[in-house]
Amino acid sequence: MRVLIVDDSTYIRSSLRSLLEEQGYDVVGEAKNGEMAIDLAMELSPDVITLDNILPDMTGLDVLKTINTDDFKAKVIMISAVGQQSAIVDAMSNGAKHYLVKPFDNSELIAILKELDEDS
Amino acid sequence: MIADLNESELKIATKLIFDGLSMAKSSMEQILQSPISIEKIDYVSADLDLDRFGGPNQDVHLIKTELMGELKGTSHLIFSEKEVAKLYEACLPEKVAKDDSKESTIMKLGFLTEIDNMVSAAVITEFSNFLDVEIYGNVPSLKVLKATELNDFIVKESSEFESIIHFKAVFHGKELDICPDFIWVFHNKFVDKIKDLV
Repeated sequence: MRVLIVDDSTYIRSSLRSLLEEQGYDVVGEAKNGEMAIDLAMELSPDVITLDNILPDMTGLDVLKTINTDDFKAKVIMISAVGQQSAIVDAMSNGAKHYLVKPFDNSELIAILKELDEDS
Repeated sequence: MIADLNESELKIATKLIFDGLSMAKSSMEQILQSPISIEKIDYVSADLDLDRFGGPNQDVHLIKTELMGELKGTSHLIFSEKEVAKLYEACLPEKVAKDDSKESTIMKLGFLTEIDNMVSAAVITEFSNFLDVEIYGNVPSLKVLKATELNDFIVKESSEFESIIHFKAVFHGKELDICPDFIWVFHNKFVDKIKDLV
């Protein structure tokens, strides 16, 4: 599976990349803000996007709304420290497949990726 | 101010603050993979005990998150220089912890801001769900100050609001030997929201 990581934190991007590559996933790109996320999502056509909700230039939900078109096939996992019920409902109703609240166990993310892989 | 609350309102406010800080404590435990306790909660004074930083000229790492949305405020998570070194050693790969290259430095600072991001978000989530308000934390920022500058910095931050409510927690990580301070400053609308609930 080809994964695009979107998070403003270098630390989180690097940690996620290490985790995913260790598990055999192909990390095709990293974006540190919303604009970059939208550009890379269109350019790279990843299978999965891990998307932070609070980004410097826009919210992850804004990114999700922009990329969630009929011809866009990537599955989006929101990964955010923001855990309000309303944020989770908004994300899921706008096309996110899962919502992980930070901090989370790495095994949770891997289980979700396996599930998405089996569904595709 | 919190003194504006009557007995039953104060009970709700202190429970909410305690629940929020407990969620923050759990988040910190999960990030640091080490037990953390809440040593003290102070609802009255935000003044910090500067002795713990090892001297007035010691560097102190303050990570600030600005609250956005229906409630205004800021959170400050504060570590001493020694605590920061212990966190790097315990939680980051050795090649990053012991390296002073630009790349490793960015990783280290990112780790600190991420701790604050998750810990403050835990409080924000608790408050948002309980008070039914749309609030979220902005991207955290890190400042390195001298210990003597800390209290003035917090007072200056507080002065941005016309009237404020603040509370402070001292966490304790026995295994890691850390005691970070966690200070919240809220606009007085927090009190109004508590009153609305009663």
